[in-house]
Amino acid sequence: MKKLFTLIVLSTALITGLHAQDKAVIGGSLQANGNFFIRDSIIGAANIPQYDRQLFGSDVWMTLNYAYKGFEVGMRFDMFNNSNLLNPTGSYTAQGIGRWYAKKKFNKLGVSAGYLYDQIGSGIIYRAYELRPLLIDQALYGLRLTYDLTPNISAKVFTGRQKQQFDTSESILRGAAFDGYFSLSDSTYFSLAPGIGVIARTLSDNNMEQIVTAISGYLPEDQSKPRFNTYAATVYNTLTYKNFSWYAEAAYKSNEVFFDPFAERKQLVGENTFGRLNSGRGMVLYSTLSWATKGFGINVEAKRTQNFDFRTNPLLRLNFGLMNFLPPMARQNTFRLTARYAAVTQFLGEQAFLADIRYAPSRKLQFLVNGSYIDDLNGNLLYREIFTEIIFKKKRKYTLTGGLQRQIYNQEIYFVKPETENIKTWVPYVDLLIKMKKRKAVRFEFQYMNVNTNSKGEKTDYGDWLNGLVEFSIAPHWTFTVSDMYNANPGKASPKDENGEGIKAHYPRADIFYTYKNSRFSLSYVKQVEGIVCTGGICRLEPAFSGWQMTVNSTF
Amino acid sequence: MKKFNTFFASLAALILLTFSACEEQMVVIPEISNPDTGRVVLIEEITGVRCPNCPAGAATIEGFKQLFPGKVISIAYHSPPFLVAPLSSSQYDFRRDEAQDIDQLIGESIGKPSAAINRVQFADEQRTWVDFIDKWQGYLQEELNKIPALFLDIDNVYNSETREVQIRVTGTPQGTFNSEFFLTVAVLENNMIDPQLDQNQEIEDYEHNHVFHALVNDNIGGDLFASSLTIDEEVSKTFTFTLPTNEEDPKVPWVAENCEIVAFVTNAAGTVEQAAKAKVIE
Repeated sequence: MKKLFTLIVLSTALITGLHAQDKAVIGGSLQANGNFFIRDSIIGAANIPQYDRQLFGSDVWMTLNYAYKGFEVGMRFDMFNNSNLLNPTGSYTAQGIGRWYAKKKFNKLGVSAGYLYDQIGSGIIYRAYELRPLLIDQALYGLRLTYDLTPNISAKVFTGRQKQQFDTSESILRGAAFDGYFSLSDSTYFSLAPGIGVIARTLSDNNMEQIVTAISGYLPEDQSKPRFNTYAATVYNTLTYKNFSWYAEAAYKSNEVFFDPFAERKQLVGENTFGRLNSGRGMVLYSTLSWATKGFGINVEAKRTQNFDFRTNPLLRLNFGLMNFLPPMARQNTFRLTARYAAVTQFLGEQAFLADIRYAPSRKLQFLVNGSYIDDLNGNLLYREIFTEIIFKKKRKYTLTGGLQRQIYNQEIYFVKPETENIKTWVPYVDLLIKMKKRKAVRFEFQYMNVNTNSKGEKTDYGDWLNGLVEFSIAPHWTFTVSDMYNANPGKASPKDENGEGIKAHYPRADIFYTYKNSRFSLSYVKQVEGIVCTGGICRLEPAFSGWQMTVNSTF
Repeated sequence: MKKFNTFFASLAALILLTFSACEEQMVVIPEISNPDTGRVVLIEEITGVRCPNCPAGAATIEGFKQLFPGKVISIAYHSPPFLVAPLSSSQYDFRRDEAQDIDQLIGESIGKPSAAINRVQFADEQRTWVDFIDKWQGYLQEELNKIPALFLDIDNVYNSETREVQIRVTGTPQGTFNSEFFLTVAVLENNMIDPQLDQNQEIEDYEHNHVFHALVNDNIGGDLFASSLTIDEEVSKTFTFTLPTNEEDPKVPWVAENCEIVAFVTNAAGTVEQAAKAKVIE
């Protein structure tokens, strides 16, 4: 009887599933942010249009997707009103169709057109991606063809131009890649996933004219020869054997002109200055090695970067026009103080190592040690980090997390602050999650940051901090948090009062989150100190924030 | 084995296809041409003593004056609030509220150094202020190639006892235009030795030049100079400005021998048609 019942259920599911494939499927998502700006000149949240006069800004992304018999189309409406995402010290207003695409697979051939996200290998030579917190949207506006050469080898080619807000770059991109997967007969113990990719960028006549004009003003010894076409190639492979995995990638970029902020430029008048268009070949070597077994895992990474600032136009700066993605070599920390100093990836020269060791002797106890070591190509220290974590879980009762972080941070390079000493921090932290009855939980979080004193006896950067957070959640709907980041011992960069003394400022935050089915709403009051914000491995210097934030995230 | 052969055959084809078209004509860097349009371009630079990239911007503009002699005039605004606070060893304070007002009038700079070249918002830019130094020359040359609506001259008469300078600005139209033109006159000072941050050091004896001190005319967007221009019919305007002493305004030296007057005419669209400068004491 039991077997008959199971058979009926399975048959019904199968029939229902087949019927579903003949039906159109429509879905989408909404992400909307609203910011109410409150001027606070003490923390530096002022003299920006939003704080001075606009008072309100918003960002909206609404996506609709339609699928029917293997054919997919989608579009996304983007709207930015007085937005501070594109440029944190400016205001951006625009709206329109931010993305559309159509794709279909015919037997072995796949065709995609529109705004496409994709990458080759780990993204070192090419990555078209989106990061909304930094308003990075570098989709390729063009065509992509994929073809399954064999069940184990696929190929793709693509061409188009990079999206730039509601416009496109003038440069034309074209690329191709082969990806394979091979395993030893039916064995699941050993596999290889090799790949090779190439990409080329052709500058427009207008871009070249701008570059040539800029170079023509240099003295002859500083002039480089720009080229219309730049090529990059990469080979990569993932080898997996039982618990062991090894990824390696080597990328090369042909000679091209790029902006080098450290290159010396002879001026017609006066002393030499820094920053000019330079030229050279680029190379990245990257590898990760990991081994994991029950209760133990180790991961090490190494990367060497040389001259790999690869953009649609060499005259673009910051995060604009980037065609690729270099893997970050420092841990993405989550606590407010452990995440304060982030090592921004250096495109022109970096050699780095990262190691992660995890050990869990039981279900109750876990240990983690993470280390980062980043230098420039001349061996100058850029970043060091040791991060330790211990997690103790009492089943259905509480989870206690604690540890210590040590950082050495080259602010001369990362903050472009000449003649400043490295910032050295110690950050002990603790996080306690207590599970209460009736689906309630409370979490306490506490960190303390101690920074070094410079040769003049001043605390470096903003000095010492305390951060505390209390979070109360009522599953499945409500979460409330209150936190405060307190500049306990102000430093050189802290705001000053009229006597020149550092202000012990508070940076409070309060959040309410409400989740209902596929939607999440939040309302937050935020005072945020200026700093580097990193998301998805990409970083940017952000000014202070003061005000209310509302967000809505929904899928349908 | 067959799969590997297929993979490597594809790989070889890919390499051949991609790199078979690597040859291209090398780009020639041309000699800089010096147009003879009579145009004098105004470069307004947003700068600051704590801005480590600003010495490069200032040096680049001085280089333009060598490349295009007599055709480039610059004003340096130390516009609050970013990167302009005096350094601990600074003797002077170059900040001016009027500089911030002008910054916002032109279009709110977002980085330092930034330059407005004749206050034109160029086609590839999202704002009038251009914050990439290597783009400035191209835009400068673009403006130098345009024929100005008028030529401009300044005559200064300085009274060393009263520190009063009589400024006469004369415009000679090069055509007939039925639109309004506005005149802005500013006082700058040169040769001020005071610290400046550079990319990897603090330069103690940096020479600050063309630093904006004050507006002579009333309106930040310029006073009405002419409601229309008729070819060869001169238009002029006279101002009187008294240079403060250093005791009256200790933030800057106010050395008369180092001060200069810059005048520029903007059209109804707000872009600069022509500029001129003259020392307070010739």
